[in-house]
Amino acid sequence: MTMRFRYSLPFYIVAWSALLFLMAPIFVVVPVSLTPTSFLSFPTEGLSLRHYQQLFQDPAWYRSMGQSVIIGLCSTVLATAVGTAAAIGALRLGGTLAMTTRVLALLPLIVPPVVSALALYRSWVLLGLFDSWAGTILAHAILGVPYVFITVSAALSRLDPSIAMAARNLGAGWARTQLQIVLPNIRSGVFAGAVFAFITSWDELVVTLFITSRGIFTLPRRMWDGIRENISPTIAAVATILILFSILLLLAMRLIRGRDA
Amino acid sequence: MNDQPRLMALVAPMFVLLGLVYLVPLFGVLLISVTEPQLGLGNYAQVLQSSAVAKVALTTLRICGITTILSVVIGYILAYVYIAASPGMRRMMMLFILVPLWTSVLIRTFAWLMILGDNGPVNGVMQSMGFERLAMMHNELGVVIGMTHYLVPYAMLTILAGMAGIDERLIMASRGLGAGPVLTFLKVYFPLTLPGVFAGTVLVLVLALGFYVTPIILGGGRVVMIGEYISTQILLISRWGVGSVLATLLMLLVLLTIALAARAVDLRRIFTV
Amino acid sequence: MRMRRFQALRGQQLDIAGKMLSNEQTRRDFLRLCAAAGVAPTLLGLGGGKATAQAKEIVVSNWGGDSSKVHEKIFGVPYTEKTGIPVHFDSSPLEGRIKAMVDAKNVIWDVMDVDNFSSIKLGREGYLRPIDYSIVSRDTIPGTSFEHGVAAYVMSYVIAYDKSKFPDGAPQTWADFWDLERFPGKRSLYKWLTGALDAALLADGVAKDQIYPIDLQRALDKIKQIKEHVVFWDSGAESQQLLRSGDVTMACIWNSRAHMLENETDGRITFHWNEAIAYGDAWSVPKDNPAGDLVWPFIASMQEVDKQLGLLAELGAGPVTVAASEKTPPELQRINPAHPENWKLQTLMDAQWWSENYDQALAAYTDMIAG
Repeated sequence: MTMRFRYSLPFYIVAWSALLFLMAPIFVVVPVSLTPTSFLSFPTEGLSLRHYQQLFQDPAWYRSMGQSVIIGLCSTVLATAVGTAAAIGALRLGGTLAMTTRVLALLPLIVPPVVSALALYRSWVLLGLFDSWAGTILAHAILGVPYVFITVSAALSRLDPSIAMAARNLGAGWARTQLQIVLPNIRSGVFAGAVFAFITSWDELVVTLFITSRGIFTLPRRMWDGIRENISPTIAAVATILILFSILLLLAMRLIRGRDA
Repeated sequence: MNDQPRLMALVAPMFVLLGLVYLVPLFGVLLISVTEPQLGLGNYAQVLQSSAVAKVALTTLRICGITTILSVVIGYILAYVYIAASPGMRRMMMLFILVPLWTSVLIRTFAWLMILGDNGPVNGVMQSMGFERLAMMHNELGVVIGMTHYLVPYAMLTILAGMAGIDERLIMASRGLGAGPVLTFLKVYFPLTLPGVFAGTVLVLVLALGFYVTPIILGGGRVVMIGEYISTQILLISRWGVGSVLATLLMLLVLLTIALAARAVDLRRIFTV
Repeated sequence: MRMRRFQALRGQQLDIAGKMLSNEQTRRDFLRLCAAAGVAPTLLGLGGGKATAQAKEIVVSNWGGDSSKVHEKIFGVPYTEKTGIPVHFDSSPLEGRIKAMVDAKNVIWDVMDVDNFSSIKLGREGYLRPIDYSIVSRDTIPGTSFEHGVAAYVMSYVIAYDKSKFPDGAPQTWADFWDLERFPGKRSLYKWLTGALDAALLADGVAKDQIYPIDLQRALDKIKQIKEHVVFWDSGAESQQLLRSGDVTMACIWNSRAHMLENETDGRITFHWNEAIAYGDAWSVPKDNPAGDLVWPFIASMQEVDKQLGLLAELGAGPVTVAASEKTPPELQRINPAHPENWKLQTLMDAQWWSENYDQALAAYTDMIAG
C-alpha cells in the first residue's frame, strides 16, 4: 500500500540531494580502485587492474572475505532471531522485567567497543572460544542484537494489538498468531535490524582484534593490518566488488519477483 | 490466556546470550574503575577533575548533537519519500541507501578526505564558480559531514520501520475533514511516526557517541571525542582504571538520557492518541 | 527365584554404573567431549588445565602490512631453514592487548615489536620477561636496549618538506618549521605525541643535550603557537598522504615514510637529517610466552648483520647493532638513521623519561590540541 502524495519540487530536490550525498564516496571509490599507483589517488595517469589482480591472486584477501561473509551471515541470523523474539516478548511483558530486557538489549550498543572487547575476551578465553568460528559468530551476534531490538520495537509500536487479539479470539494458537500475524507486519523492522546486524559484523574491528589471532582474520582486520604502513587501493577494489555484487543482487531480485519487496 | 511463560521464553535467549557471557564479564571490566591502580574512587575523582575530559565531553556532545539532528532530519525526509515512491524508485533508493552501508567505514572516510580536501573536486568546482576555498577537512565540519553520511541510513531505515504500518486512511480522513497538507502532517502523520523517530534518534545518538575512525581521520587529529579517548586509555597506554571510569560514566549517562526521553515520548503519546 | 536373580543382576549393574561414574577413563572421555564442543572444563569445575608442553614454534607480533612480509622474508624463512622451527606472524601488539593477554593467561606471542619506552613501562609492571642477555647481544647503540627490551631498530622523526613550495631555500631546523612567515603552509605533527615535544623544544632554542627531562609546559606552549596551522597525522600512511596531496607543506614524520615519498615524487618531497629525533623500537617477550626459552636464539638471529641491513633496505629501519652500523653499504647510508654522519645531527629520545611520562604527556597534549 503506497501513499500517493503530491510533493513539492523542493522536497524532491532535497531527497535526491541526500541520496547523491550518500553515494558520493562510492563515486570516488570506484575510480580509486582503478588507479595504477600503490597509494590512494585518482587515476589521472591511466587505469590499471592491478589491485583487482592483487585481490584475486592473494589468497589471504579472499580467505578474509569468505570468513567475513560466513561470520556475517551466521551472526546476523542469530542476532535477528534473538533480537526479534526479545522485542516481541518485551512489548507484552510489563514492569521491571521489560525494563531490564530493554536495558540489557541496548547494552552492547552503549558500551564502548573496547570495553566490550575486553569483556568478551575474558569470557572467550575462559570458555575456550578464543580465535574460533563459534566464538566470533557469537560475539558478533551479541553486538548485533541491539540493532534488531531497536528496529523491531519501532515496527511493533505501529502494530495494532487488536488484530492479534482478534486472531486469538478466532481460535488461532499463540505461536500461529506470532508467525502469521505479527511477523509479517513487522517485516520492515526485522529487515532493517538484520541489515544493521550484518553491517556491524562486516565492519567489526576492535572486538574481533581481541578475540581472534591468526585463525580468524576477517576483512576489517585485513584492511587495518598494515594501516600504519600504507592504505592500499586494494580496499577500494574490495568495496567496488561489493557494490557490483549489490547491484547484481538487486537486479536479480527484480527479475525473479517482478514486484517490489 | 496467560501468555506470561511464553513471553518469558521469547525473552530468555537474549538473557542467556547477553546476560551470561556478556553482562557478567562486563561488570568485571567496569569494576576495574574502582580497583585499578588501587581500591577506591580515586579514578573517578581524577576523571571528573580533568580538564582534558571536560573538553572531550563538550566536543563530543556538540558534534554528536549536530550530527544526530542532521541525520534524523535527512533520514526522515528520505523515509517519507520512500513511502510515497513507486516500486521502481523504491528499488533505486534502497540501492543508494544500502550500498554505502556495506562499504567499509575505512574506505568511506578516506573517500571523503579525497572529496573534501583543499585540492579536491568539491573545492575545485567551487573555485571554478568563483567561490572561495572552503576548509572542509581536518576540522569539525569534516567530521560532521563524515559522521552524518554514515548515520543517515541508520536513521532512515529505523524511521521507515516505524512508518510502514501507518494506516493511510487516517491521512485521507484528515484531508477529507478539510485539514490542509501541512496541518495533516503536523497533527496526524508526524505524531504517528514518533516512536520510529524516537528509536532512530536513540540509535543514531548512541552510534555517534561511539564513533572512532571518522573523527580521527577527518578531524585532522584535532577533533577528539570520547570514543577515541576511551580507546586510547585502554588500548594504547593500558590505563584501564581511567578507561573504565569513562566507559561507566558514558553508559550511565546514555541510559539516563534514554530513560528520560522515553518518558517524554510516552507522555506525548498519551496526549495525541 | 527369577525375581531375586533379576534383582541381584540389577544390583550388580548399579554397582558397575556407580564405579563407572567415578572411573578415571569416563572422566577423561568427558573432558575430551568438552574440548570437542569448545567448552573449557575449567568452567565446569573439572580443571582440565592448559597444555603445558612447550610450543615448538615462534610467533612474532609486529605492525602488519609491509613489515609482516619483510620480517617473514628476512627473519622467519632463514630461521626456519636453519633450525626447523616454524615462525609465524601476527599483528598489533598494543599495550592493552599485551596486558589483557598476560592477565588472562592466554599468551599467544613470543616476541613483539614495541616502543622501547613501552618495554620499560610494561616490564616495570611485570608483563614482560627480562631479556636473556647471555644469548642475545646487548651490543647496540647506547640508550636503545633495556632490561625488558632489546633494540630492534631505530627510526627518526625528520623534517620532510615539499621542495617546490620553497624555492628560496628549504627549512633546515625546527625553528624554521615553526616559522610560518618565511615558510608558509600547514604543518603536520604526530597525533600520538612522539617527535612533537622534542621538536618543539629544539625550535624554542633548547640545546640538544638539554632536552631531557622535558619541560612539558614549555613544549606544549610552543606547539600551541602554531596549532591552528597543524594537522595531526595518525598513521604512517596518512602522514604520506598529507604531504602527497599538498594539504601540508612540511611534516614531522618517520624517515621511512619520507624516503618513500622521495622515491614516489622523484625528489619533489624530500627530507634531511638535521635536528632529526631518533627513537628505538624493541623486541620484548611477554611473560609466559608459549615457546619459552626457544625465543632467545631467535632474537639473537635477528641481530645478525645481514638481517639488520635487510631491514634497512626494505623498510628504512636503522640497524641497531654496532657491527651492522659499521658495515652499511654506501648506497644505503643516506637513508640510514644510524649512520654516523646522520646520527651526529640527531637527538635520541630518552626512553626512561618516556616510560614514566608518556601517559600524562599524551593527556596534556591531547587536551591542548582539543581545547
